[in-house]
Amino acid sequence: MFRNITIGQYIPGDSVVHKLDPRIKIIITFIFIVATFLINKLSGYLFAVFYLYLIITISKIPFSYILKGLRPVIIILLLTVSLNMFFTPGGTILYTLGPLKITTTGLRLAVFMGLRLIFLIIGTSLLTLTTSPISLTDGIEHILKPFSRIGVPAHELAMMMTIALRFIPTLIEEAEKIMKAQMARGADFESGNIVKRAKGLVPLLVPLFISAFRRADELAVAMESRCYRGGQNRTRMKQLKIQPRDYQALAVTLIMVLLIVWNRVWTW
Amino acid sequence: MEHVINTQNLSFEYHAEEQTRHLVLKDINLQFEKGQFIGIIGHNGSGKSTLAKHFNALLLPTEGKVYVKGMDTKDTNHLWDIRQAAGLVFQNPDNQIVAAIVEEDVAFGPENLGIPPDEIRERVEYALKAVGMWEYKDYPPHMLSGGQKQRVAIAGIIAMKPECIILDEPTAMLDPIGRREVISTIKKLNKEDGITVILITHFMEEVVDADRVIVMDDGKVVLDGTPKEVFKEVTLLKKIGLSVPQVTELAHQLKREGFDVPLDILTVEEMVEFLCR
Amino acid sequence: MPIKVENLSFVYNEGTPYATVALNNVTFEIQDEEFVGIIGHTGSGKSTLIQHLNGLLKPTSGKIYINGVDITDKKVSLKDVRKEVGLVFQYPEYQLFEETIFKDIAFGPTNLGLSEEEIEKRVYEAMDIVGISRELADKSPFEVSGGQKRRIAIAGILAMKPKILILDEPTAGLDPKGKEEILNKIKEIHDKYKMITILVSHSMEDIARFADKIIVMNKGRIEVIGTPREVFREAEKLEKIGLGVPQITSLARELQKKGVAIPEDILTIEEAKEYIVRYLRGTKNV
Repeated sequence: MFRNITIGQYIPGDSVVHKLDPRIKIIITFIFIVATFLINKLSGYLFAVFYLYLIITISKIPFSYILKGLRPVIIILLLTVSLNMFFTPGGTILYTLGPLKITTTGLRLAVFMGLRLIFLIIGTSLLTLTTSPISLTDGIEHILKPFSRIGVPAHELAMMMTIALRFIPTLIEEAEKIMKAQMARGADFESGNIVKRAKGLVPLLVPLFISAFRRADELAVAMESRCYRGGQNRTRMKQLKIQPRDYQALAVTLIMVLLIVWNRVWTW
Repeated sequence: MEHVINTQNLSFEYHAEEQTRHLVLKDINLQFEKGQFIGIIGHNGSGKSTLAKHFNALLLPTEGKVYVKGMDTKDTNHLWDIRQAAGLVFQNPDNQIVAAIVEEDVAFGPENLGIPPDEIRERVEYALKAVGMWEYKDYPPHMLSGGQKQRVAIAGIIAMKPECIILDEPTAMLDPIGRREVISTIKKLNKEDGITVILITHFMEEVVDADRVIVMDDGKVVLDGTPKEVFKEVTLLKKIGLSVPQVTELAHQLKREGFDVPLDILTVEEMVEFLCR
Repeated sequence: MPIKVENLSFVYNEGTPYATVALNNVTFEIQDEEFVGIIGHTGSGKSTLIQHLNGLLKPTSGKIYINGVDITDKKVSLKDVRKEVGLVFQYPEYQLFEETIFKDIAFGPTNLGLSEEEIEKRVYEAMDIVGISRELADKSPFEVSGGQKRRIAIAGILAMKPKILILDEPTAGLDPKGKEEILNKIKEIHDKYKMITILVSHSMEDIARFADKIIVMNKGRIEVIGTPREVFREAEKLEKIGLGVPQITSLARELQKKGVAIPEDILTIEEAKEYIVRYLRGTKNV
């Protein structure tokens, strides 16, 4: 029942987008999100749309996967749009519905906020769709490394993510096993109201937590005996290396940003 | 010659909450030669796992000393040298694999030692080839069988270039195929790569080829010798809750019937040879 | 409560690219009071098979009759099936969760909707059977030894008074002494309560001693089925799938090849001794 869950939503592939350095991809995603917030005219979105179209085509990610990423946030999207639409004062009133007024400013703001949210989500899901969780972890660790001097626990965060990635499938399998074992003892996980169901989870959760703690305990000892002593003096086998294609991708992104800025400042 | 591991009057006490003291290890004196294959057997609670944890300074003796390659395990300056020299493989294959990709897990130890990246890569390749898991280098561990996971764990130790590898019941949770995979891997590492192996187990069959077998009971060494010398003591072994190979047991029963059977028969071949001379 | 399995097949992840056939046209019968051993490697389908016997898995095709009732029929209540068929999973101590040993063993009977008195009676009875002192009833199940935990978990199933008891690798991870204790306990329970007992294992030695019938699984199929002697006569087949026979059986086979008068289906050391003593006396007399 749990077996089909994949972590993140990575779709393996060998496109240029997949092969980009994870650090560059994270930075590009960040730049892209900032850029979409700079847009203040509808025409500006043309550049962003074209840019995304380019990435999606190169990465060969089916478009349906990108839409799937939007589905869980649809309620937030609707809420943002309607709040902005009905509660922004100013501008001429277009339509009145009882106490609710739709104004030109409101409508404009609603459209922009909605679009920004959509681009934000598409941008980040493109990152996770084309980057394996492991290289994403590597990327985050390397990007945060310079900040460790000011107290950002870069190595620890990355180690936590690595261990989580390693153990999520193991714990899922274990949960499945415990569930079956309790069902063999007559436990019922499927019927009854919410309270009854929540109570019914105790026989699953208690053993699962105990097991997770036991694993953590054993893993800590095993790591210690393999000379683990935190991030200090630690080297990494996998070295991230910036390739020409990374510079090219960065350049394309910067062009898109420049176009957006140009659009914001000089065009109407 | 310097011993790989040397314990001097090692005793270990474990304090439970209610101030009760459990003497888990009692006055243990053992010296292990380089390149040997040593089996340590005993039932659960005999102290064999506690002993293993003393060999790489995960536990420190309450009394006495443990030396690894001449280094005192109580000397914190040598802690990491000791753990590099004496690698430990644990019972549960799942709970000792750290990374989500096989080769990255094998690299974990050398990375902690601060080895340069290129050399880590070489070591990982060597270690994975040594345990026959090179083609699985890009696999996530949860897709592997128990025996394969355990071999990855062994590779993780090999990549640290240890003098000696200690395996604490590495086959207890495996099925017969996994058990065979792991045991033949360990034997190969001992014979071909000259790594000292200390195998802690309760499966007698796994140590019949060992150079030396040590039997523990109640925190003490009760037998110490070649497999033939040790397995001869059928009555004692059974008394402390250990089993012997079925043919060894048969040899003893035949002896009791008054036949002149050598008591150190361990394998089917030896028994057939004796009976059909 | 006889079991009859007919053409049982099961496919994991059916209809996806990951589809794997776990059981392939499995047919067998188990009679009342039988002690059955199921043996096979990890991935041979043995665990999948036993999960079908109490309705935890639904077959892709085929029928399972328990006491003549087809439990694959949608109208059959799985709760009733699980009342009759007790399944002890591998490493059962990892499913303990209650505050006290008593409450944990009572979990199954409580789910059956029994009365307080009946539950109490059954819990203590189950504790007696597996050899857990009644004084421990109010102790936490996490404070006792590993071997005791396992016996408590088995008691949790016994307290449901199943007519069929299935145990998946009950000796996994135990030392020889612990293994011996659990196996003898299972044998004792079987002899006393006469329930069908199905023991899943990958150790021939464990199964050979007690089983009336052995089912050897390989790659989702039944490879060999029969009495231990019948099964061990197929030693070559067993070796080919990497299972082997007990050391004493292979000794008998080797001796027979050398012309010693000993049957090849020897199961125990005592049996082998008898023939070898006869052989040794014989050669000496000549």
